[in-house]
This record gives sequence, C-alpha cells and structure tokens, in this order.
Amino acid sequence: MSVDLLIAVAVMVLAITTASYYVISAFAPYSGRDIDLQASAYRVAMILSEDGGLWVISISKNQTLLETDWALKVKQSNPSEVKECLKRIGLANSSTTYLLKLSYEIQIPCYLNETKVLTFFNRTLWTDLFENDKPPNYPYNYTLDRLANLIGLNSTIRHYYYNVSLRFMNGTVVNSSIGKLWIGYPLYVKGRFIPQEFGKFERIVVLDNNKKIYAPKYDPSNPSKCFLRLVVYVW
Amino acid sequence: MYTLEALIASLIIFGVVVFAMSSSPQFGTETKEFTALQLKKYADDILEILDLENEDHSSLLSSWVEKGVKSNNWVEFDTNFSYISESLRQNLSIMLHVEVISPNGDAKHSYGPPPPEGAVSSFRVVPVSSPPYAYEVRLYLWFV
Repeated sequence: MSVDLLIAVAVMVLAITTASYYVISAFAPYSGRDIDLQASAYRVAMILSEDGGLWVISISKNQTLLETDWALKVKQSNPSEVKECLKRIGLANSSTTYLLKLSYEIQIPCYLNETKVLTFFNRTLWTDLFENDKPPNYPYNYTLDRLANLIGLNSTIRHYYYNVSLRFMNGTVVNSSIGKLWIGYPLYVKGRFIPQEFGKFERIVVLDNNKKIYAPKYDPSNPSKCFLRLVVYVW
Repeated sequence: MYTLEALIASLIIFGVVVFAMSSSPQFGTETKEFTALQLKKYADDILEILDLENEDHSSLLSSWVEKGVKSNNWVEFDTNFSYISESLRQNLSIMLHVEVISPNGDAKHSYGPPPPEGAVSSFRVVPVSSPPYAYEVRLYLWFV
C-alpha cells in the first residue's frame, strides 16, 4: 500500500470528522436529548419541591391577586375557574412561622403540603377537568399534556413524557387515600421499562401529614416515615 | 522504505483518530455534572429538612448541635445521623460524613468516614443560644 493512499485516507477521515463535528454542533440543542431531559427533570423536581404553586385571580382590569393555596381553590372552584386561574403547580408549604407570618408567599423548600400533594397526584381529578377539552385526533394524552404545562414541562419543539412519584426512601411508591402517589405516563408496561433515553432527578422531601405546621416530627427509629423521595422521570 | 512509509502513515492515522476523539462533543461531562448536582441537592434537602423551624425558632439540627456544644454530648446528633446515613447507604448507595465546625473554624465534632476527593458538600449555619455563637454543620455525600 502506498503512503499516498494512506495519506489520502487520513485526510478524508479528517475532513469527514471535521464536517460531522460542525453538523453535530449545529444541531446540538436538538440532538443533546439526554442533557435536555436531565435539565427538564431537574426543573420539574425543583418547581414541585420548592414552589408553592400559583393561583391568579383578576380583581380588576389591571390588578391581579397571586395566591399559592391552589389545592384548596381547586376544591372550591368550578372547572372553568380552575382552568383560568391555576397557572402553576407547586407542592411546597407556605411559611407559617411567626416572623414570616405576613410573608405568605415565602415557601419552605422540601416541606410539602399534604393537600397539594393529594390534589396533584389525583389522576381522576385532572381527567375530569381537562379531558372534555381534548381536540379531535389529538395524538397524545391531552390531560397529561395540560398537566405538564402546569409543572414547567412544555416545549414547542418536542413532546415530553413524564412520570412523577412520591416514594419512601427504599423506592416504594407511597400509598394514600387516593391510591399510589404517582402521575404521568407509566414507567413499566408488562414488566418492561419504557423510557429508553430519559432524564431523572430526585429531591428528598417531608410531608406535613401530621397536621403540624412547623417542623415535622422526626422518628429516629424509622427515618423512612419522615424522609421521602420526590422522583421525576422525563423522556 | 515501505516500513518507513507505513510508520509515517500510522502516525498520521493515529493523529487523526486522536483529533477526532478530542473534538467530539463532550456529553459525558454534562452527565457527570448532573450526578454531582443530584448529590448536592440531596445534601441541601437533608439539611433543609433537619433545620425546619419549630414554633420556638429552634430546629432539630440546632437542638442536636446545642446539646453537643453545651454538654459535649453528641449521642443524639450521632444517633440521628447514623439513621440517615444507613437509609442513604441502603437505598441510594450514598455515603455520608457530617462535621460541626466552631466559629473559629475548628472541627468541633464529626460523624462518618472521611470524605474522599470529589465528595459533594452542603452546609447550614446553626445558632447556639448561649453563648450566642453560630456553628457550621457541613454535610458531605458521595456515591459508594
């Protein structure tokens, strides 16, 4: 084999590599799927664990009232009000300590409000609310897509699948009066794990389910009673 | 002569392969960053939860530190962090090391094996009522 041929092959490989590098770079925002999915999972986990949600009421033409107790409002309002006023879902409790009592909008990260949690994971509630608005021939699950918009998971260039669950530290999904606390698309179908490429992010949280408004009671003999994992998959 | 040509050609091809590998997009680095971010958030969340404010403005964490500082009794602190450590190790394959650092920067107390290089840390500043000092509780986490 002559050295000319080998040099030619080497130059060709170099040229192809350089060209492919620039092509990949040009499409990076679209092809870096795993990175984008990780960032999306992080965003959803952050909003749900650190934000209290947003319920917006128009008082007058230029005045709006912003509130965070959206779960109570959902129970008290009719469906059209919920669709109009519920702008964002967050599960964090508002601060209730003495010094911060007047600052109702200050949220306590990772200290989840049980009413918000039970409302968010209530699949029947969201189906009843959104499914009637489903446009004909809509290719995806309309209810879950509307819910995705409320937890910071929206995009004009791609459709996201997601699964959000509240688990004990050992990974078992928490069971409650409304069933297992998960929402979104199932992770397993017939025992097969569905997401091929996915982003996953977790937060460690506690529930205010003992009705105390301050720090939760910590049971050292069973930390799983206290610490929970909010697990978000996006694919 | 042919041997020399082959050698030169091999070097050129080797150079091209090295260039190609080094110029490809580094997606692996991003994944590592997210792994570190996940550990960091675990650490932040644990300290956040333990430092949730009670009615009297104390917290679990501050009461454990106060007891340790005042009476040099760190049993409650160690016991509680041992439960947390066990839960993290069993369920998430994460190891834990926690340090209490006094206002002058000395390590007052620590629990858990020493953190390796690359362990992720988070901290809370905890007030101790008398004398009024602020102690730093630094939590290190790393994957097994």
